[in-house]
Amino acid sequence: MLTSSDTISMASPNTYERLIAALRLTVDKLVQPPARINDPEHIKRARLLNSILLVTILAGCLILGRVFIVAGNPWDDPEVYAGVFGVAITFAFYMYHRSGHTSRVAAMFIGVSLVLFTLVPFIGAAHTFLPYAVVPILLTAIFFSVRWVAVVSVVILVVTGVLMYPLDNQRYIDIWYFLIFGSMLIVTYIRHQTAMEQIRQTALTQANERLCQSEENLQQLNHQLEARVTERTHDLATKNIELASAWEAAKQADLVKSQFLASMSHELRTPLNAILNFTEFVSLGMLGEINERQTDALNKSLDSGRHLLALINDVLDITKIESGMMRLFIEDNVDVYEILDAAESAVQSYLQGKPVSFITEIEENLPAIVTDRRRLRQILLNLLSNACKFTEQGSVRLCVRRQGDDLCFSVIDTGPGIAPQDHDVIFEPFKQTETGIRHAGGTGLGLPISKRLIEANYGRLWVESELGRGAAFHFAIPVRQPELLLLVSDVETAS
Amino acid sequence: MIMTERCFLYVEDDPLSCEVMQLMLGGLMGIKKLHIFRDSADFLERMAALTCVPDVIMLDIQVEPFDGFAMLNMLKQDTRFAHARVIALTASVMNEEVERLRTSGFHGAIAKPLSAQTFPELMRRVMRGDSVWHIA
Repeated sequence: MLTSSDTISMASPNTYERLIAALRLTVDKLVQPPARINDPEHIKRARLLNSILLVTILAGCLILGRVFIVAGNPWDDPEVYAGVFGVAITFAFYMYHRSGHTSRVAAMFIGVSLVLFTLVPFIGAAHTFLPYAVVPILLTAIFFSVRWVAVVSVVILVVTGVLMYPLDNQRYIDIWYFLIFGSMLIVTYIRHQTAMEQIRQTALTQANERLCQSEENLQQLNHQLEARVTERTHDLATKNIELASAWEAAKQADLVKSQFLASMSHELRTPLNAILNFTEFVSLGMLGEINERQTDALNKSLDSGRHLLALINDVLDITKIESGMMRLFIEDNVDVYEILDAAESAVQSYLQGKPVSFITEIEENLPAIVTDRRRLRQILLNLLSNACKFTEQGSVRLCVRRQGDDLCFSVIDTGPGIAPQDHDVIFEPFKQTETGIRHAGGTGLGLPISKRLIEANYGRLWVESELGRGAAFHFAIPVRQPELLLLVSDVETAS
Repeated sequence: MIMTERCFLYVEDDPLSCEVMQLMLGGLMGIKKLHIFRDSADFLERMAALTCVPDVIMLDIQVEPFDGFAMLNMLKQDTRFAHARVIALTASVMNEEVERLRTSGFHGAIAKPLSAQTFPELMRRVMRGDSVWHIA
């Protein structure tokens, strides 16, 4: 039974709520403006007008009902006629308002109320009704501008003032003062509200404008960004094309350079083949007897020819290096001793019987290395020939030792030495020191070429020397440089 | 077979280089059989027509119409010349070209200009069957 009592106790608030809801729905339907009005501001005003008209009808009916119940013969009183008329015309307005002409209906309603509330008190001499003259002022304030409120107020004050003047009734005058004060209050209030509303509107409009502006800016920025992206993409594409063609041109230039160097090498060496060999054959007596002076002359010619060949080789080498065309022919397991042997035997011819001793200090068990054997030999021969060339007495020493991951080669002579300020100069192409120039014979390229070859081999070349105290050239190259291992050629051939 | 009896072939378009080779092999080394082609036209036909099969073939690289590499390829395809030692004689000593010589199957290369001091010894090594890369 607990459940049923629960159900009953639950039922009553439900019924009440349903009743309220139904009432609300009905009121809502009654005040609802016609569906064709779309403007939200108009809908608000129309709903308000409907509500006021309905409230007026309701109030009029209540007042009239009371009058009919209380009074013996209500039709004696002209105010009753006015009341009935008022209720009837308000209802008519309500019905007419279904057409949607809110402003017109409001104006007519204000007009009627104005007439009723200003004239009826004087017709029936009922001054108690006169305060109702505030109603049209209030209605004007609700539905129209402050200017109209002022107009309506002035009209009411003038009309009531004129009508009561002959009556000379203190009560009318008091109510008139009340009307003056009331209308002024209303006008002031409405004016204030309007001003506030205007300020709010202005602020809103400005905010809106700012919003629009920033939106516009944003859109503009967006457009700019898009344009920039497009431009950049286009630029990039152009750059890419340019880069590709530049790359192509560079490759082409490299090819041309390479071909030029190859053909220069070929074209210069071919005539030298004839010059050197015919001279040699003649000097060897292969083409008939020659005397000592002729032999001497031919040998000088041969020396010059060989020097020219060395120059050509060096110039081609430095050109290749300077233009980045130098490529090492890297081999694995290059036997250092084999290269050292060749270098040692060359030294004897370099010394040409000078009173200079050649000393070697070469470590045993040196590892085979990863390098360009031809270039390593070239470097060693260059350093040794320099040492032999500049040393008139004393010794030339060749030391080779392993130092960690490097092989260190040193060529130490007892020659004139090199001033410290010249230590950099000697490694620059086509620059020779005073001593170097005096000795001639060199190309001035041997050291620059050696330095660059050693650096291409991931090594370094440096000099220790002072004037008058001999010179020591050292270079260190890695035994197995990983980067060089990558360059090892497929074919392993013995020299 | 003694060296002077060996048969040599030299393909070279430069007449002075040919003359140098004649003096180098004939005059200096006493070699009697040296054939010289001044161009590489009908290369294999002319090879076959030689009075002796060459033991050592020296090819200049820049020869018309077939360059040294093309001639080498023809020789490799012909079993008649399988025993011949093929040496490039080149005046180009660019590493790129030397690398190409090494990888294309020559038995050696000797740079021009030749030297009367080193050439006889190099030839002896070639005939011993050594690979000879004298490109200094």
